[in-house]
Amino acid sequence: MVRVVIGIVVAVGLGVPLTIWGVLRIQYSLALRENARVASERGNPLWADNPPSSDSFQPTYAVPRQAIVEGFEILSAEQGDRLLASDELVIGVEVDGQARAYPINMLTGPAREIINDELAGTAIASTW
Amino acid sequence: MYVRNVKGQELTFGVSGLLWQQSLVMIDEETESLWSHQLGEAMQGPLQGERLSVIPSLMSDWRAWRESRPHTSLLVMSRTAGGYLSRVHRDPRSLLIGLAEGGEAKAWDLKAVHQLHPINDRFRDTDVVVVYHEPSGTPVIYDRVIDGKALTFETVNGQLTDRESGSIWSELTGEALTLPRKGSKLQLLSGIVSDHHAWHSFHPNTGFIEEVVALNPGDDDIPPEDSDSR
Repeated sequence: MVRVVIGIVVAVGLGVPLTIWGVLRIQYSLALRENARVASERGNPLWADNPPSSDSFQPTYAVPRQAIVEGFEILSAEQGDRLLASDELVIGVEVDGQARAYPINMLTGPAREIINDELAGTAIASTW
Repeated sequence: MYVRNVKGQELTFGVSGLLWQQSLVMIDEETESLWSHQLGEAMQGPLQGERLSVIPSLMSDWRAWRESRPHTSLLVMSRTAGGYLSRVHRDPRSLLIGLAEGGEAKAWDLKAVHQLHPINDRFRDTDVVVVYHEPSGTPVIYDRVIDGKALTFETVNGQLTDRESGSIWSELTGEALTLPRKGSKLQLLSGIVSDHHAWHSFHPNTGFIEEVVALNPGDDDIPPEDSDSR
């Protein structure tokens, strides 16, 4: 009986971490493969096999390359009042007297990390 | 916030999926160069070494931004989060507001800003003031030089006031609201609200980082610190 219990404990103790490690490992290689595929499709030699790196710049793979963010709308302040709670955080910018707010609750997550926008004729990259 | 124009070329940025110093790396579609979004600098690829110009921005809540800029527009899409409310700034666990430029950086702990504002200080060759808009819990950094002369700010009757003229200023727009300075406007600097960990990983041990640590947490009677030593 004791042996059986010890056996189960050892099996679980080894098996669970190993399984988790295996799953993570598989996910990592899939992400790597996906990045390599995207890279070769785009003809980007930097990405073909390994993450690019230099002495000061050594990135690692985190998530697949994300599509450029599209499908956002520009609204007036009055329309914004109906959509946003007054205490929601925004990032605000002004260019040549024109102001724009970017609600952070809509810019969260890897797919929304950066938005290509234009304000007062200036091409701006909204990121935070 | 950056101008996405480099050497006359307009760039379209996306998320590369790469991670560097716990921050996602941007990639531009036109040249496939890789950019640090924290530094605004191309780290690899044809544009390596190029820097994007920063557009100063501030992080506020919708009400405060809306009231200070009645004609603002806003960019919307579906929500991906719901927790970014102004109370995040009011309970500034390990947040700071920092300036970084030319390899130098300086940061002010938000707990200290909350208690000591306005903080008259210097960063590189610029006289700056770190202010705090109480109702929305918004920290903002301005260049405090007007007409070639550095002003010294203090809180008088709850209002942001310059010692030299006694004018009252808006924390959110940097505009003088009363005479004699009415019509003047402080230049907004690109103060970034960040957590300590992320900030320090991008601006490690430069020797320029200064955490202004509150001496008596909870004590609101600490006078504004004036670290301008001239």
